[in-house]
Amino acid sequence: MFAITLLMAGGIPARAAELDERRTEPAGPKVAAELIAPTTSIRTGEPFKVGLHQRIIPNWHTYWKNPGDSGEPTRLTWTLPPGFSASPIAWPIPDAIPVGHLTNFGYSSEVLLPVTITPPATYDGTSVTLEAKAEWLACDKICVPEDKIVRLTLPINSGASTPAPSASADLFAATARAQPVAMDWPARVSRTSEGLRLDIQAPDLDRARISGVRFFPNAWGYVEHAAPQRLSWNERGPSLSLTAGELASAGMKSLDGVLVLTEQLSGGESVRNGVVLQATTRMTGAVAGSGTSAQAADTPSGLWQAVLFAILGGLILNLMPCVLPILSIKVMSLAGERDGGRRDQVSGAMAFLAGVLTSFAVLAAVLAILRGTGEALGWGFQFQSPGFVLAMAALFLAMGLSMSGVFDVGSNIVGAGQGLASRSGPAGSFFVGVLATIAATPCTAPFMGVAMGFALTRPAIEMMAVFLALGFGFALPLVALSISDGARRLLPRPGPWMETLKQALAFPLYATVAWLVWVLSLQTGSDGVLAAAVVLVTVAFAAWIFGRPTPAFPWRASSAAIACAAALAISMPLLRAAPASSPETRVARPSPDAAEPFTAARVAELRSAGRPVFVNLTAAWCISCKVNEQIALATDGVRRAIAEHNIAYLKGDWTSRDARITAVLQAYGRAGVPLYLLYPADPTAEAIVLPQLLTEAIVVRHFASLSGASASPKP
Amino acid sequence: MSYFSVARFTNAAAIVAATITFASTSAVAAPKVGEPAPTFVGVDSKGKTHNLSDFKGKTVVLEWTNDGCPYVVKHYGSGNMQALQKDLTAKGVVWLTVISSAPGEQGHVDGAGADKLTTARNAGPSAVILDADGKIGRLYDARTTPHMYVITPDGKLAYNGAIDDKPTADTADIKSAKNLVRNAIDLVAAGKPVDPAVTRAYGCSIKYKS
Repeated sequence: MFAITLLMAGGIPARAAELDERRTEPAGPKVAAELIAPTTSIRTGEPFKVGLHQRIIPNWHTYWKNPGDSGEPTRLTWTLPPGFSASPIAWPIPDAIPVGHLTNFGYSSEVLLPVTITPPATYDGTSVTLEAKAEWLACDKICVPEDKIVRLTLPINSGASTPAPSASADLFAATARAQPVAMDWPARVSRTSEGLRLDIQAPDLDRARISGVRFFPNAWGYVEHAAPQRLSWNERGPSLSLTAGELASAGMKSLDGVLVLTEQLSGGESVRNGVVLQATTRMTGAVAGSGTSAQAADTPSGLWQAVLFAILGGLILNLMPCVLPILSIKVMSLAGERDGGRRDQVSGAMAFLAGVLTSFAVLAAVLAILRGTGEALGWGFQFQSPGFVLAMAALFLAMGLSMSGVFDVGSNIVGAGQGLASRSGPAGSFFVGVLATIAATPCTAPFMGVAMGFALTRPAIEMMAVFLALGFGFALPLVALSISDGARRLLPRPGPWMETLKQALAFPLYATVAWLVWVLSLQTGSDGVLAAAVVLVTVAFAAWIFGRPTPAFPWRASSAAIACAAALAISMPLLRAAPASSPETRVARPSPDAAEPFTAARVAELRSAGRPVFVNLTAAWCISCKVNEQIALATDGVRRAIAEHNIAYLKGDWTSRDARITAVLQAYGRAGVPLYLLYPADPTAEAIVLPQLLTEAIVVRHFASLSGASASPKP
Repeated sequence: MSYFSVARFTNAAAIVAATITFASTSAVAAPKVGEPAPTFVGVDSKGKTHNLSDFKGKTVVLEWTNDGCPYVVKHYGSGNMQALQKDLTAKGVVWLTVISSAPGEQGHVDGAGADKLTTARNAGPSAVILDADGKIGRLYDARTTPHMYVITPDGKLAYNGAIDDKPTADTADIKSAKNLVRNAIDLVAAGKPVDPAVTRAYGCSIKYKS
């Protein structure tokens, strides 16, 4: 809104005068532009920043360096005093702006286009005047080229003191955050039958935090700007399926651009971070005909291999601790049925197979649908939901209690209730298949990485094939056992030992419950553990009521169920989902800057020695942390401020779980990194919490506030 | 700083809108250079029907235009486009100017309006095709005004892209620019492969019927 009022003041000589004005085009210039600087003066011999500030009227936009399907980037032609030179524009990450069925890349409402000016080593004069001809195209549906001669005069600060920040310092700081950063992520682009695939290696990236990924190519031609970009993830990082542009078939050496990731921060806020990407083409030998050789990597041999791995993985799944008890009981019921009718056995086996395959198909379909909406999901994604984890813990506990003999479920779901010989029928077998699949999901990841990594990046049909293969392998042993009389003869004769075995097998189930509660504690902290305790005690209580042999209590089944449901309902609000992060352990990396590792004891020690302490709690998989480190912390200004204020810099790496860091995060009400704490030297003073999104200016301002003892920094 | 959150919201909304839009319209595939140019039937400003196949044996230039677009103004205001039209048509090239602006949008004209423009600008196309429903434009995946195509006498697409290699709205750039349509026509006439055959068409987006 204020952009409009500001526009009234600025007169822009526009070639727009040539234009036909009969359309509903707002009168006057579309963009107010001026040249600004983040400081009120400059120092001799030191490069400094200036920028073209464009304030754009509503609905109109100006363009990025690659303007997209139409349009033209803003240009600056400098007139500088002798010895001065100007860098190209450091373009902030753009937005994708749809225009009909086309897409442009550019900026709306306002943008600062920064340029670094390098002055000569010596310069006689008390001030310098920079001048540039700024030319840009402004468009909503229609386009108007505008231009303006912009000038800025800055006094030269001959003394040693640091130039003071100007009123625009915050805008420059915010724009610094919007600059794409170099992360050294290897990237590869390959041609597929459907277009292009861009694979990015960023294994440390936490996909649960990333809600959107979009690639902005630096130039027109290789990528269709307007086409949707389908995101998938594998263990190495994100992959984007792109539609090839008109030049892609003419031979592409590399694909350069900016990857924009939308990251969810723990405060519910999200931030767009840009990463510079240089993707090399996939080369399989130096043989000519790169098109065919590139496609060889995507031939069905990849699919067959994945299917094979999936079947093997499925077989191995049977031995997993979360699955084994369920299947063992099923096997025992088969042993009990060895004299039963063959027809029943075959139909039971088929029902079990159907139950497994249906579950896997549903999983694949859900994954495909969620992937289509841009969700980044992996195998076992449902365990990212604390509610699901708790429900599973409750289910496993109930099953365990049943096997321990606390209660009987009539003609039991696992056919292990009223005597092992009881038959549960095809419906029961189907349900065992579903249950076994659900139980299997958390156990699978380490065994089927290859197949899953493949499946999750492929079109839905291939993904479905791999998942069904997995299910087939999973169901195979039990099906074989059921329908082959020879195999079943190998089973031991039923007898009282089966009751003992059944009770013993309850313990792997209890162990699974313990593991699930641990998962929950990582996701939700101590509140989640309390919720789990409430629910699990209630389940145990309900099981006990249900198992009471008193016939005088006719509503025992329904009251047990109601008790469980009520406990779940009461505990749900406690399950505030924390950003799930990969629980696997990684080796902490040595930090590139001179930061000591964080411990609470070290903080206390340094403070008692009279030094303020700056603590950076970070993780390798957190891009915002990395961006903060690159654009705000690893800067000369911050290094100077650290030295100037004698601040100790400690870094805590939360890449792998670290209970001490978790405790600090929780003490400050945070569920995750980044967290920046500035402890004043006075040990009685409270630590100052810096914002989650840092800029050099914010950090320097907070550091400076330490000296003015009582100054309370702006958050 | 509140404008940042507003901007962020707008971005999010734009991305959502973009995703929805593209999901429904991404099926448009650009015609490929070296392959037969898509055939079409179009009605010109005088009501005459033209079929692309009528021009077999002749080189055809397709020019998308919108008289309100500053990039079109650059090439007509300077006389650049008219000179090329007259020079090429004198050599037997068929030049079809196509207007795909939808009714109510910038650049939309009826037959009389189109003829008036041709007279006023002293232009020399063989015909001006009115494509208000955008069918021909979408068939060719024409994106900007101007957007130029060259079709060989045997009906193959030889060039798809910009009028020249200086993608600005500044008339002063025409003098130093290489005209890519003339380049393509010359190479086709000499029987040589066209290079460059595909470039980024620059200009205003075409105001298609939504």
